[in-house]
Amino acid sequence: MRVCSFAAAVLGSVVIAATAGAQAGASRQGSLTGRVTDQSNGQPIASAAVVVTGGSLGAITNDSGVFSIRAVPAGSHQLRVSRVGYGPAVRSVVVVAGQVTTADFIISHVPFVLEEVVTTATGEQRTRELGNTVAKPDVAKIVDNSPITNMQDLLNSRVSGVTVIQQNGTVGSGSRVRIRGLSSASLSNDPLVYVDGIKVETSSPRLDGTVYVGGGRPSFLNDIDPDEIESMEIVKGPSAATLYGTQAANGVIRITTKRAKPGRTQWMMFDEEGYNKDVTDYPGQWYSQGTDAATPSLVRQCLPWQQVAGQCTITQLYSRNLLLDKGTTPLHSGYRSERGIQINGGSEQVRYFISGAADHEDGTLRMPQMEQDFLHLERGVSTLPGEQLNPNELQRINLRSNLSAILTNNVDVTLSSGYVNSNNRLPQTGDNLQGIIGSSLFGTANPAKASNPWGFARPAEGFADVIYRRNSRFTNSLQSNWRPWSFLAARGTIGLDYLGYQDEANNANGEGCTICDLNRQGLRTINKFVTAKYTADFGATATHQLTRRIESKTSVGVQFIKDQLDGTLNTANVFPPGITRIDAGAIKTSGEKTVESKTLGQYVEQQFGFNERVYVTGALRYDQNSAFGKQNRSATYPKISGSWVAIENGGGPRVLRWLDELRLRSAYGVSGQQPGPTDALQYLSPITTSILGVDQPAVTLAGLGNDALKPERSQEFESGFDAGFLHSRANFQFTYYNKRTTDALIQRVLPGSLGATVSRIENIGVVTNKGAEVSLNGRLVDRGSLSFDVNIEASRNANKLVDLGGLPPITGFGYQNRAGYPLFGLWWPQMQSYNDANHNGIIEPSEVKVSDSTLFGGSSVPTRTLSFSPTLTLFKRLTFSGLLDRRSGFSNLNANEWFQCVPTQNCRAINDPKASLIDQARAIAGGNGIGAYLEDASFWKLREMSLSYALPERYAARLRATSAVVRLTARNLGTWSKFGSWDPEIATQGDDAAVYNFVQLAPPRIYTVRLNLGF
Amino acid sequence: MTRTMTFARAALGATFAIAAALTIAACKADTLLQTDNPDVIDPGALNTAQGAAALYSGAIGDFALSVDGSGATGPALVEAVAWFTDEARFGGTPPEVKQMDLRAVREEADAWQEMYLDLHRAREGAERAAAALTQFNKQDPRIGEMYAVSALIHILLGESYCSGVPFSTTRPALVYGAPQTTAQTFQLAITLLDQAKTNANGDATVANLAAVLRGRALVSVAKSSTLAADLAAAAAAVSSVPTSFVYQTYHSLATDREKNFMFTDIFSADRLSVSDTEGKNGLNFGSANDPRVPTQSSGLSRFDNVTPMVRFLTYNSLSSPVVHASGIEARLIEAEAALAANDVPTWLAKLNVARATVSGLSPLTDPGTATARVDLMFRERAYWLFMTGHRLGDLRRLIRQYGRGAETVFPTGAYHKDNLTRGTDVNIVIPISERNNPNFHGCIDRNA
Repeated sequence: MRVCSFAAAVLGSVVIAATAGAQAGASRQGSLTGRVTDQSNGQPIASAAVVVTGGSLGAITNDSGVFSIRAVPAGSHQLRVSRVGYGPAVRSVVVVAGQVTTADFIISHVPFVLEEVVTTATGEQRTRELGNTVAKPDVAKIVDNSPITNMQDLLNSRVSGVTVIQQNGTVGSGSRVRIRGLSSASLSNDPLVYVDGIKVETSSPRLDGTVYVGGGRPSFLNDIDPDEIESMEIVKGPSAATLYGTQAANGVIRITTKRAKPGRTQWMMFDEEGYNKDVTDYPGQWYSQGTDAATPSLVRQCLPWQQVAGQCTITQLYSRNLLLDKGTTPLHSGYRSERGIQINGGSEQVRYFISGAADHEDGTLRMPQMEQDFLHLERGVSTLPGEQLNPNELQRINLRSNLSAILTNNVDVTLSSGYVNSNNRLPQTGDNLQGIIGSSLFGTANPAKASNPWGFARPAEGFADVIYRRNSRFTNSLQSNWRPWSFLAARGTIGLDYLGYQDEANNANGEGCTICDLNRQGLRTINKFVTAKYTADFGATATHQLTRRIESKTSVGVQFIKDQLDGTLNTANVFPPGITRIDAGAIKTSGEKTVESKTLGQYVEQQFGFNERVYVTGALRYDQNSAFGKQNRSATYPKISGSWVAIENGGGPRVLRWLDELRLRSAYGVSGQQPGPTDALQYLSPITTSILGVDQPAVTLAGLGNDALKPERSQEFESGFDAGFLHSRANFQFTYYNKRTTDALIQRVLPGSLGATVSRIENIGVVTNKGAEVSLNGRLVDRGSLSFDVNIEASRNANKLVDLGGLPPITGFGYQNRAGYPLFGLWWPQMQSYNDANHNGIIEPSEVKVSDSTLFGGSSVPTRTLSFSPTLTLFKRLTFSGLLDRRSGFSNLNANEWFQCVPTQNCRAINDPKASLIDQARAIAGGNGIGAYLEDASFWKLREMSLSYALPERYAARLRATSAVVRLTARNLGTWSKFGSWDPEIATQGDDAAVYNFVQLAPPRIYTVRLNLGF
Repeated sequence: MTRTMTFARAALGATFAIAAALTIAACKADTLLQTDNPDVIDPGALNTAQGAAALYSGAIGDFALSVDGSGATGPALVEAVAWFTDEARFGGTPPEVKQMDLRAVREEADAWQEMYLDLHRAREGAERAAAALTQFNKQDPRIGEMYAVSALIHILLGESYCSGVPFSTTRPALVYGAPQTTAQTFQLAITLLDQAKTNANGDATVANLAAVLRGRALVSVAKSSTLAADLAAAAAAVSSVPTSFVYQTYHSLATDREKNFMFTDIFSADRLSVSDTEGKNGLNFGSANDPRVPTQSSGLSRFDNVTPMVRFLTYNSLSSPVVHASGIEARLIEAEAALAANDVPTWLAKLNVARATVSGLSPLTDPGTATARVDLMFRERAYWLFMTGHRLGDLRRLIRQYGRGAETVFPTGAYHKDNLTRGTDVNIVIPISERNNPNFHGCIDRNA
């Protein structure tokens, strides 16, 4: 209450003071104008930020390099200019009341800049003021030079400490984004994402029930078009995310879409065409045929160890490869295209940025020819529906309009509107009776089954179950800035991210899966959801020069966020032939889902700057949330940080003269993660029950409730330094962090004898993440026509569930959350030894030893990452770049091989007497010890290669363009790993609890060519 | 331009008006933070006769789900017992489910945590419903039925799980139960059945249900040293139950939760295949052509491509009901009591009364020896009560009450696939989730 009163008082005083003081102040003000140019060629520099230090006033240069700042108080000021790719410049100016003062700047191009302006919860700040690190990858450069098809490509391996874990190679499939490890055992570990100041939906909700595809669920993060992004900042942990409050414990990604720039209208058009191809060397199927010892006339599968045991005699070894053989392979090339246009321009007063892009991509799967032939006969038709022949396709349209207006000398507003429409057809491909990879991998080489060699449902059936996720989304925000006085800046953002999505399954009568309940009699599901995220965020910052050397900056703010999801779920089964309208189904089921949560947060932050070199910041955020229990209605998150620019412009002590810049920084902060909306409530759920054959309304206990529920608290200390050297040709950043999550919200497993629920959310755990991050940028060669840049990002993270409140481990399929071990660590009974004791070259069941209990098999997420991105530029026109990625320190379960060798018994190791002893041993041990297939999943991956060429202006002019760039790119060029199956990076279901690699389509190799034209 | 500026000014004004409103509202945060939760029912909303009826229906639904399985939760106790014993083989692949067929379930096996919880949830739900119904009409026979359902769950837990099952409660507050021995569990069931009988309120179905279950509990708790007397008490308990009596759970296609999951595992997923002389000791269910166990072979399981699939035709629909107590079971209890009393004519007569209800079953004759008579008795029980959750209790009784060796009654030795050998469990381990009960430290006894 006290905090809210304070915030109200401050905001009120802002309004009153501004109203009263506006007129009075006007007579003591002047204006500033000037031009910013490039030292090397005298050309004007657009988009440079010009700021009056010690206040809130500033401007951006137009495409003539001109800036203009009005309502500047008369007197002496420091003006500071910064721009990506240029070194900052500062100069003093004297503003005379009622006059226009001119201040021109000439700034120099430098390869790398340590200091940048970033958007924080309290507005824009220079990184030198921050005690924490904020990563700001150069999105424009990445998008220009790399094969970026979606947000996960943009985030993957760009920033140390940010790990993107992909699910599979399905077109439209999403990925998990994890920043500084896993913090929560039971809640989402996804970071928060803000676009243009408002919180947006970026989850990857499961396709559930009858819309199941077995993995590869799409992520709404990929609705954001990288081509629309102007800047992206990654706030990595609670030390930096404190003021984002509850929900921010996993870090925050802040995206700003492209802002309009004043000047003549500029057009940019692009066309990208390409194709994808699955080049994976999938394993084949083996079958050792023999005769039964007891009944010699019986032809059967005879495994080598069974022959040794005298059960049978091998007569023939067969092998085939259903995934690769012509006639049965479902793998083909897919086509990809994206076309777009961006328009940008306007006056100083009103500016606009408008863009549109259309994206189309086919996946690599097609119905195998053998299955097409089968269906032609079965259905008596000569053609098959296109969506069954090609089960994976993505079509997406992105539209955006950003309008900015300067209303008065001290007021500006920006209205950002984005629209996305996406239709994603998803194949049955994963952990699924109908999945194409499983059907093929677990098929048979038995010649007696040549007419239907598939495992589970044959592809002709699986491809008939057509699945869609379709979504339409509006993201609108209104951001305004009001600078009533030079020392006071108020800002407000209101916005709504409104997303409607629909999951669909369509399966006609007489088609589809024969082993999937009623599917064969027809299935239609339409599950419609609407999510709405409302954001209202207001703040004010007062800047005051306390003394000549000490500057004070005070910020207060209030933020309200409402998350809502409404869904209706409808399924119908058993249709007449020829129709799959939901009302035509004989059996219908329906349901409804509503989730709502609200957060109200208020904050205050105080910063002192000393001599523009030392900054100390303290802050406090106070949150109330609808999901907290009755006993804990609020949470308070503190923060303190310090930053010291020890060396600037090479002015350090003699031994450090090689250093151009050195900044030391430390930060401590706390952030939270809210429980689910109904976790605190005791409640029952409605069900129906058949009483004497008649369906009756009924209820069952569904939530035990927990009045004491409070948010999970993550406190983090980070410390490090930023160093620039070699005359700004290189910079180096190092950060150590120690994140400790207390009151961790754990799905505490309840004893079954309570007869309540499987678990209840309780604040009982402690989780730590400790690690270090390194970032190195260097221009190794810089000779005018030739430059060679290298970027290296590396990180290491040690995750541990320190305390589980003395409770037994929480177990899941192949993982445990056990005190003393990493969250979601891998646990299986494991093969302890094997020995070909009788030296017959065949491992028999008695010759392997398996542990009696489950044993720890390693972390399920990478603990060490390293990425290497070189860029070679020739003649300032031709650019080669690449991305080599290393992840290590984790394991994955090679469930593909286990399933082949044990349940299906069609792998080489179990059928071929010549297979290596270790492979035979694992196949034998796998019956009791799946952990025999736990493998080191470390890998190197050549993710990207690209070549771009900026055509000389005269050639561009022939296209009536002012600029033209051609780019050739390739993605997923190679993977090197000891992991025994394809792609160790894949985790099946796309959540932290799916810790195995099982029958997922491999990410394809993608080639594209793109032409960018500017007008 | 003017219009744009006007709009922008209006937007700015609105923005800061909202800011002011929010700031003021922050001082009344409880109002601002109120949310709708239309998906949940507050327990207080059920304090009516209709609410009590909904709790009753919920308990019946929870019971059906916990024993027969459902499309929402998967297999449950009847299937687990079938796999654990010689009734069925597992034609699927998930390794933790397979552990049940191997008689080697690990306590941490995730696949079997929820079955144990579901049984207790049905027990708690039944007792909660009994209390709620009593509030509004003490003469309601559904009160007795709820006590009987709770008793049946006690019996199933006692027959199937190791000794040491605790019975905790959340009514009205959370109280962790202490582990109960198998015998204590059956005694708890008998106490509940007393309440069921008292509250039958003249309803024949509830009275017969309570009687059959009392007989079943008394049979289970019988000691080998006093077997004849104990079984005589059981026979007396069921003597009034007509042979035609049936108490069954019903299923429906209306929701996944109401679907009989055994149909799915038999006819769709090919995971539940009727066994035939499984593991040396098993009965020939799959090949006997007995009308009580109608079967049909359909080649290899389409799931694992290894297990011969023999389908149990009684559960031939997602809405097939499952019998949990019957007059036939009453006659079987009487027959076994007669056999224990060495009254062979009555024994045969009781068995043949039951057999006479099914065409195609000829009357039985005395096999001549005591061992053969016990074998025949349990064979009859096995066929009559096939895939209803009785078989595990019977095999354990053969060990406990008739002195048979575990490896002479349970499927034993080499498993039919995956290069595996069966384990030696004779009951299902209490899952690791129970270790969150501070009073529980593992099974008291893993013997039969």
